[in-house]
Amino acid sequence: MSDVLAWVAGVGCTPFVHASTDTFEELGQRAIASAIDEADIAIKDVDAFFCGTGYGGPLAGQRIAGGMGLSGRKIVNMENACSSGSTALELAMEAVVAGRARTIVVLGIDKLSALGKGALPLSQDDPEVQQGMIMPAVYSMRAQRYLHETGADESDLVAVAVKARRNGAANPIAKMRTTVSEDEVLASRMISDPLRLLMCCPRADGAAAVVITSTPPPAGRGRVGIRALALSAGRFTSGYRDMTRSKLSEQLVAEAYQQASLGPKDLQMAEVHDAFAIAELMYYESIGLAEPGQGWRLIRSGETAVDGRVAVNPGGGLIGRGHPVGATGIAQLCEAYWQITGQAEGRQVADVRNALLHCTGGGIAGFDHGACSVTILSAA
Amino acid sequence: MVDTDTRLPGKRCASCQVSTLEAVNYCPNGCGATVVDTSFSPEGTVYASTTIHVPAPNLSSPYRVAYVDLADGPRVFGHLATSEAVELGSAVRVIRHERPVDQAGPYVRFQFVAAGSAEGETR
Repeated sequence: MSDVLAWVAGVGCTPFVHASTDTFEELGQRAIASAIDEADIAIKDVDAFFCGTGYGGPLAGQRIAGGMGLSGRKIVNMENACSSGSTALELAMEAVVAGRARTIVVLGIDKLSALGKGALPLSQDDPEVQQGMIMPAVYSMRAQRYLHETGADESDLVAVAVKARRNGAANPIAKMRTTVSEDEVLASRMISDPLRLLMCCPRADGAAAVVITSTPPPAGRGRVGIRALALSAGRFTSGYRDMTRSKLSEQLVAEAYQQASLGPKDLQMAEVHDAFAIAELMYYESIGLAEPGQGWRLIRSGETAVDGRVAVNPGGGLIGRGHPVGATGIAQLCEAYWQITGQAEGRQVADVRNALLHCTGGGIAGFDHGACSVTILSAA
Repeated sequence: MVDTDTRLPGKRCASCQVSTLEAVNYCPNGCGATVVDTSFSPEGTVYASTTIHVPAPNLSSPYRVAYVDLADGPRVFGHLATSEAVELGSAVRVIRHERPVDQAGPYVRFQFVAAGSAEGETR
């Protein structure tokens, strides 16, 4: 295995809820305070604070930092849609590797209840949004093609949703704390066919933070390190693209495996970007657990359950946990950290040594995905 | 009457030939050459479609959308004019509309009718 690029000294995550009574700033502060407490460091030792948020507005990091003594140092705010948190993580990791910082707080946060109801607002300059395109519709069309081209059917989308809710019910920070049956998924209202409400990730308010360090935490505690991190934008095209396959995800997964000197056989778990149930089936293929067009076999066989061959989204994924846009990438890291250190009660995956995190950001015309980030976290 | 007015306007890179329906100023492939005016046949095939049940201002609810791959290359997003089922790969003709005056929010810019049908011409 390759060297650790940066260490995870501590994590903190607020409950993901429909509408938090905390202000945006309070949410962020809670997650950061929890991470700093677990990392057992002092705020004065934090060299930089990177804040990933999709909808947090100007100077989001500074508004959070001010009230808790985290201002007066390098603060950078980053936006990459649903990959905002992962993007902040990647740049923090680069700063540590380059020797420009020893301790960085990374936060992912969004308070979507402030945006009103309905689908997430997208850029009004986008030619497809101008005609009423919404994110569920993009994935509905992926699902239509995937079901048409492969042996998958609606029951596989249902199975992803049922697994997500089963896992999320055991995750104390998840928004959705109850399981659902196949019948309930099929009875939920149609959003854009074939995707029904319970096959789509729910909006949420929430924040997740991690303390990244250049040196390992003191002996006697579980040591978790980042062995790989790859980030890129998708490539714009005005013409044909295969919507059933994320080439961008495949490319970054390959880079991450190479950085870490690992392969899919070395994973015990993965957290992938299941914004909509079809996405999980596609990403099984992207991360190398199945050949292209064969991902649906894994949800049917149970191989991706918590006690399966490779647990995918043991924390509930976006569908079970909820999706406060910027927070998700860091919440995925929190789940992997809890799994590796044996703190995932009720959903514990056995003996996790390597976890892959896959987070995408989308919502504009002509892109496979606007952004994608792949991280490999390991016991070290 | 079929004439050049039914062709769809767009832009093409004079060097790499990548083309688009959007009024771009730069080559979408990044090759740095001049982009020139071009037009496309309105004939295409349906790549994928869905019916959106989330209401949107100015649009009927639910509304049916699709990606259509034009015979001349670009992929276009727009609205299906029919309420009948549409098979993947079926042939359609694309009709372009201007944004209604003084209307903000979503509008039907590209409308897809079955190839050979007279539907939609007077919209």
